[in-house]
Amino acid sequence: MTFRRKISVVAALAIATTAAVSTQANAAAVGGGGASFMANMMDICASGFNKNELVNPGKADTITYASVGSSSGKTGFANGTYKFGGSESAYTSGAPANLVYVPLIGGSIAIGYRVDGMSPANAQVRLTSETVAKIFAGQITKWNDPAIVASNKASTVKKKLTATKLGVTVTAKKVAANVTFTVKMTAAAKTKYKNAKVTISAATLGGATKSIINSRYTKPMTKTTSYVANTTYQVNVGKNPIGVLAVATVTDGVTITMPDLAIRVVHRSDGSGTTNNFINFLNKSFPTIWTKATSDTFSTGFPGTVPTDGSFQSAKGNEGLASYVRDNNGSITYAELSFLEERSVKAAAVSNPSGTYVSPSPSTSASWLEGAEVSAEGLVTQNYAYTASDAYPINAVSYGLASSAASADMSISKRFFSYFLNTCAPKSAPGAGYTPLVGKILEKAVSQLAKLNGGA
Amino acid sequence: MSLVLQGQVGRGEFSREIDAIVQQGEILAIVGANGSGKSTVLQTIAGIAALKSGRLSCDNEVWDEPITKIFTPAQDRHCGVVFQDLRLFPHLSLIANVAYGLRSTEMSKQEAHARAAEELTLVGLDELADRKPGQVSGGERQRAALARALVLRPPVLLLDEPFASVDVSSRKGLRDLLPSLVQGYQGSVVLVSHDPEDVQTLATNILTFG
Amino acid sequence: MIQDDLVPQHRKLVSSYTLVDRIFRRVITTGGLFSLVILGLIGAFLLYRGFEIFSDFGFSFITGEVWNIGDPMDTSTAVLGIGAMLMGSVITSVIAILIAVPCAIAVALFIEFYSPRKVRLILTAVLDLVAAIPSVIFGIWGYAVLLPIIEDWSVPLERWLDFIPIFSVPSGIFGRSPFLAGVLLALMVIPIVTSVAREVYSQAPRDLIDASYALGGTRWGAIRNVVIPFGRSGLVGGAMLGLGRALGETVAVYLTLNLVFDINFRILGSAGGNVASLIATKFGEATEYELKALMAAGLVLFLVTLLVNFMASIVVNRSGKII
Repeated sequence: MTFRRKISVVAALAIATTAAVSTQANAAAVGGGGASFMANMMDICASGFNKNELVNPGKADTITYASVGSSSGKTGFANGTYKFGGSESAYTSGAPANLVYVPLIGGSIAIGYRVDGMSPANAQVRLTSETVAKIFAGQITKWNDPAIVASNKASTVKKKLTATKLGVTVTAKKVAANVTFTVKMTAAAKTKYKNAKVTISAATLGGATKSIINSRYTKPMTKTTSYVANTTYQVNVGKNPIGVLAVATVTDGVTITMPDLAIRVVHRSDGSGTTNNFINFLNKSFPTIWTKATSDTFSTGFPGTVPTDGSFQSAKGNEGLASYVRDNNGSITYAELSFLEERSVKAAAVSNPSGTYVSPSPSTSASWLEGAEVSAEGLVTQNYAYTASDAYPINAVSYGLASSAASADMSISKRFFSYFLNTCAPKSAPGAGYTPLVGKILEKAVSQLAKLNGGA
Repeated sequence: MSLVLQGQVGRGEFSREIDAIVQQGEILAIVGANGSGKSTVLQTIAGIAALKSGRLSCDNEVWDEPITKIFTPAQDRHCGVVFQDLRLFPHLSLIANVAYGLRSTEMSKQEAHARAAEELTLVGLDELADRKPGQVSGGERQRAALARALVLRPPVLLLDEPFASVDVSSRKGLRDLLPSLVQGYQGSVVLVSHDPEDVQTLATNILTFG
Repeated sequence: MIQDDLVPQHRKLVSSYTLVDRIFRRVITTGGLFSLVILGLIGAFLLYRGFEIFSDFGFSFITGEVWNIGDPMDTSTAVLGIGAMLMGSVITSVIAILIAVPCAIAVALFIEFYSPRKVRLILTAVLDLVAAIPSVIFGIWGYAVLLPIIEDWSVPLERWLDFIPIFSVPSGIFGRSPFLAGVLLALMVIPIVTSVAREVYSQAPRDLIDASYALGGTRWGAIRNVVIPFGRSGLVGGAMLGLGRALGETVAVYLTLNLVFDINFRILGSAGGNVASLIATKFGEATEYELKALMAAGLVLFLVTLLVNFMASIVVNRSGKII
């Protein structure tokens, strides 16, 4: 009997083990892959998801993400290599059935550079977006090119308390912590501009513009506003500028002496959504320089032939670009802000359509994305003429690639996307150099998310 | 120049006793059956093989003495050797073969070739100087090998079956040539042969290996 | 009839193998054929997958220097050519061989003729170890360590030699150059070339070496006049084996070279290519049609490498004879 008993114990043990294994089997490792642009954010959110008891009961499921570039992500998701994909560009061909784009995160495409020997050494380089277009098209090849030098001159607005033009007189007066504006018109001017609005808008360096007066003139106007340092005041009557006032001398920018150094443009060797968004910006903003429609492949979207003398270098992934610039003097590239920050690579301030130089940051990127539209299928279209003065103009939105068909993997991916959008991104993105989605893009993202996994 | 060899020669398992003295101007012939160690003796004197025990000296200079670990390398003994299988360098012309030893003494190429040309004339090969060993007959090769050894004016000349690879008619000519070549030569000669006729015409002393 | 009987017939020689012999023979024959079949199947697979490309582009696929898939929906807009990459493969491999062979000869001669026994054992082991280092390690090391060094060397080279077209770099941008890739490949192929060179040199005719010594020749004289001439054909074979490896090397080149689709011979400039790293770069994200082109590129590389290795084995088999 002992023998038989032993057998039954062994059998029971075997069943117990199988049971344990089978609960384990419900847990799954879900591997996604694609865009390197959002890879830093994916790493943060995947590890957050994997450790989060609330959204991942028993911490049973594991999300991994391979940073292989948007093109490889799209191919890999279509053929099943990746259970979900990541991309900043839409499929042009070979899209899988039941595809759903879920906007997940935004970010600025920062212009990273390394120029040893400029002075002052730590100044932030300013580039007009046209200069950016010309550098990346190979038309500007030296760091001391006049166009670069010109945008890196300090401009000074001297203290100016009165402006008189076209019969309009505007006076500013600083009293304690306030500034008082007075507007007066001659009788002729009053008649001439009776339908025009008088506007005074304050522009503070590195900040937003603010309207102080915006109304028709009927009698002398007075308005008091609190004083903000480094602010200039633009006065217009209708479309006619009257002048720029300043209650103290305002200096904008730093004069930088540039070395006589060749520019090395570093672009992606792999197919990339970052490239796609960057070239789209260049093509839409400067169609005479960037003549071709955008593409994931740099050489395809490039106007003409990419220079072959070594002045253009290719590297893989946002990681590769940022590392190359860190290691090579004279180089310049385009990459998500977080990759530059990670490697202490400096990012240039770029002029936006309103003519203001803006540094890339989560808030300046968010300001830009306020001007963007989102399509029915979840794809974001940016407005490249958007004139908010505090908006950084080169940005991208990363999409999760997922399926509306139900599957075990998709159910986990859906939970992960939901955690990403609602919990992880709002909390961690700004600190990591990304821009969490808000407003209509976020609303669309949530409704796209609902379609995944058969709506379940 | 006197050569004294006493001790055991051999390679690997093989060894044999030898006790021989060759005085200046003497020609010692070693005769014996195949495999009796004749060639090994020559190789030992040349410095290609080492003595197992005993002592090899030339005049007062010790060339090989295992007990004191003295061993003069082959290239410093300045022996002239004619190997049984000749060992001419197949990729070099006859004149380059003959000049080879001279070039090793840091002599200029021009001078070495002039001396080599003289030597080739002595053995009657002046017209074949630019041929390679593969392009001449067996007898001519044999004479080239002789010239290569003699051009060094070596203190010790070692001849291993110098007529073995030659047909009968050429052998006669060579046998006549050798004494005339050796006549003006001041060193000691060791000759290995199994042909009694060679030995009788040339040797001053004979050592027989059983 | 009688005549026939008188003519002696050949006796039949019946050699019968034992069962074990027959089984062993089957096994090794199968094994031997199997590798040939695999080789053939690889070639056939690449040809099958890449055939459309050859029929679309013909010879210009091999000579063209543009790689542009055009509109992904319309294959007729694609322009695909591996000329630049193929030339890059050749340039980097030739640089590698030019550097590796003299080094390998020196190392092999030292090991065979000069080094004491202990040093020889250590050196041999070290070389075997170098041969076993994964190429990705070489690539990372090349990028992180060798690149700045080569960049520093390139500057004076360019300054002194820029009248020779291959050394001129008009853009003044070095680093990530075919020269760097070539040096890295040289380090990778030195072990294999050295091991062939050692093998060949150890077979140099002993009696001629002795003859050289007996005539007063020095060790260097023996090496120069006997060992090197006799080893020459074997060494050529070894060099070609190294060339075969260098041609096919992927990761190390991929990590160090700036991939540029342009046939140029400026070896110090930061632009080059290599068929294998083209495939590595494009494979993951390729469209259906581009994938076929990569297969075709693979076939070309496969054939070139096969040819080089085949020639190498012929030459190695001839070694020992003087060429």
